[in-house]
Amino acid sequence: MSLRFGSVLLLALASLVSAQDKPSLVIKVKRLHVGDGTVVEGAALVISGGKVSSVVGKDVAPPAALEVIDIAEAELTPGFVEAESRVGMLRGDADNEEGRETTPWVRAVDGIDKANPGFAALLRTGVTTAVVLPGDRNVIAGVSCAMKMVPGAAEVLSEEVAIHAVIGRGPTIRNAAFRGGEATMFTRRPTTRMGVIAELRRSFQEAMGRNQPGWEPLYPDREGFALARIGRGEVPVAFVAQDAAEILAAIRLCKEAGIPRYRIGGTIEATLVMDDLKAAQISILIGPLFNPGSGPEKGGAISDPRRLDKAGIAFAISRGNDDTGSTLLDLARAAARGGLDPNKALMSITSAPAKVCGLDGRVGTLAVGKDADFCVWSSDPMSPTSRLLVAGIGGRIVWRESTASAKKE
Amino acid sequence: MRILRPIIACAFLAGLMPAQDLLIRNARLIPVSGPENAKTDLLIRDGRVSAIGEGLKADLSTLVIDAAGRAVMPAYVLAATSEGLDRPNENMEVTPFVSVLDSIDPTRPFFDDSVRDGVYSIHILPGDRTVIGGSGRVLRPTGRVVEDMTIVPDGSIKISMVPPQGNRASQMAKLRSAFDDAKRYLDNKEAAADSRPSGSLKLDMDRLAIDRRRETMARLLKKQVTAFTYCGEPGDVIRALALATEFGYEQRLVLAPGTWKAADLIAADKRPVVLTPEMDVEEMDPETGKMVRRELPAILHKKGVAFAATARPTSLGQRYLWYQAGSLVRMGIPRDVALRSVTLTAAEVIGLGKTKGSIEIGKDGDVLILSDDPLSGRAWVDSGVIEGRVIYERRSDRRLTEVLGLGDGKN
Repeated sequence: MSLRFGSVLLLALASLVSAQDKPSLVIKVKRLHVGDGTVVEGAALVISGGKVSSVVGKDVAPPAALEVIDIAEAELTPGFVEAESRVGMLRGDADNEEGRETTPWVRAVDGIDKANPGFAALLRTGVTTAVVLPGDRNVIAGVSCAMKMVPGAAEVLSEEVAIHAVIGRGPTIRNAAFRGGEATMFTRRPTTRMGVIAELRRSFQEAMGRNQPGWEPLYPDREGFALARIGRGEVPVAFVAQDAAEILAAIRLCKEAGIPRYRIGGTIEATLVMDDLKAAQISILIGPLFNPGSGPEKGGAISDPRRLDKAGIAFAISRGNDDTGSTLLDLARAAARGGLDPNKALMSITSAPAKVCGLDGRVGTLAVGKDADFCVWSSDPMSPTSRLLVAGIGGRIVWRESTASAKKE
Repeated sequence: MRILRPIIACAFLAGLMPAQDLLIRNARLIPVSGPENAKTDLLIRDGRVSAIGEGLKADLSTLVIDAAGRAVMPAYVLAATSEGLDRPNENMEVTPFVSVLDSIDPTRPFFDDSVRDGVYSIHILPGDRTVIGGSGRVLRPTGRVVEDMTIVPDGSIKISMVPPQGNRASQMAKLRSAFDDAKRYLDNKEAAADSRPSGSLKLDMDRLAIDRRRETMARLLKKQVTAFTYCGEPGDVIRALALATEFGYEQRLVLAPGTWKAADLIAADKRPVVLTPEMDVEEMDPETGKMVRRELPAILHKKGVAFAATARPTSLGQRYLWYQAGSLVRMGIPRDVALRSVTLTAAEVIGLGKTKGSIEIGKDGDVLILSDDPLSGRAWVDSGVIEGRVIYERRSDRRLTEVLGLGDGKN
């Protein structure tokens, strides 16, 4: 009796163990892009416990799984990482908390509506992770967060990605005196780029000063507390700097104050200051990109990514403030048309932005142990003919094209 | 003077002389009208395609380009656009008497881009914010003045079913009154003309006189020009078709993706249509509350409607016809239909199906040599040819080489 009971228990345990061992999902495709530049032909992605458990090539039979998806002609990529977005912000919150010019304690994650349809819309373009910025109307706008695009119930990947600082005219918009009249005490400041930079300098010096031995705050304040963390390098500063002059200003400011961790985003003129970027050894986010010729040329050229790559500067592509309807993948495709190696173009929207944003421990590639965030495309994703068939986050299929299953059968 | 005269005579003759023969060797030919050919030669003589086949012979005077296996396809045709104008619309709502002839600026970068992108037949029409917008015209992107660029002058007229202001009832009333007015004008003119043989000596000179402000509309009613009617929603399609039947004019529908519910009516009309650059729309399903993407081209293709896709230079992708064709494939439309929609079908919609839009013997030699497959997303136009003349070479495109470092072909 006891023996029988024991064996049953053992069996139950064994089945429990095997159920845990058995991968939850295996996806077989024609070509798998790991996201770090490697491409595996005839591959299968093996997922268990929401993580990538292995990637097997065509010579190895994938293990039995609870669910198998086999789309012979398809290509699989990691889910894309959008490094600068406003997705999920409540209406109006995409601007800023304008009580002050520097609000480093304000957190974007507190303004997010997790059921916002924007998450699902972004997911359909292949983006599974997006860093949400607190806005660009403040000099120091606040703390960005990273979200995963689960439709209807977006998940927080990181509550704190970076503290966002905006150089340039963004924070001066609407600050000018009413109808060109005299600036009064009611006029919001700063009103010029030099004013913005002066405000940043004051903040950074305070950030460093807070960490001097013997410094005693007169009273504990939320701004000083947040700034001190920048000074200690606990959280990086993420600049939004469009022009070459603004990129140089960011580098200069951080050098002056000795800010240990920072990066530069939203740039469209990085190719003009490549030597300075190289010397400073910082990572950058570029975008939006535009084609040669007419149209709204407020972006970098599509040949910029190739030039930066040639110069050995680490970069990722983000949509930045692109409002023309181009997707992140469109930008990578344009970079490839501009001469960047297609594999590197794919990296510039997967592993590269994950690394720039410090999220590479979890997302950006399909290396073993990373979150199983993936997209299955009908053909080469770098071609405009490819269509998103399936998207998964954390090993769970969160979006499936209605015709994809029909085609499979 | 005596020395100058023969030089002038020579120059004059050179201008009259037909274009040099052009032979493109080792082409991966995408004729669009038929199956692709992995390796063939293409001869263009007197501006027209004269021979297709392997091992074609070149004269001493023939210009020979070795395509070396690159894709060779017909030049793109843009079936409807309002680019290249100083402003797309007049402030007044009913302006059938204006023509884009007077609004096109040949120095616009749009035309340079069209040369670079291989769009060699462009149908320019007044914009959508109108009731009756005026005459359109088909142009090639090269030429000093609009007359040099023109392929078809004043062959079309723009109508919009989407009110720039007010509601659709008033839009319809304005359209109907414009057509009534044109019909009255035409009837009066014909009646006046008819009265002549009857022996009446008293001719009403006012009634006989040509009213330039009404002439375009009269030509529309006589089916000498074609209306391009912009529709934003399904009801617009119903009204546009009814109006064309009521007043008896020839019409091509220009369809925004929101018109997808009228697909059956569009199919029953049996005429090819033009799609706006925006081809799909996201709508909330009223019953499930879920967002549904409606892809107009996929719905039309299923119903057997032929369509031309168009481009607009706003977003990164939508400004290219190859991208639009790629998007059609993404929506499940076969590759050959997608390529036709930016070449042959587009030419047919604007009445140039016999001369443009495909590589066939006897058709105009408007061809492109591409660096890659047109739908790869990475193709550039290496050489562009209009009626047998090479008008564009990427390696000598200063903007690409100097500004972007892209012209070298090595990338």
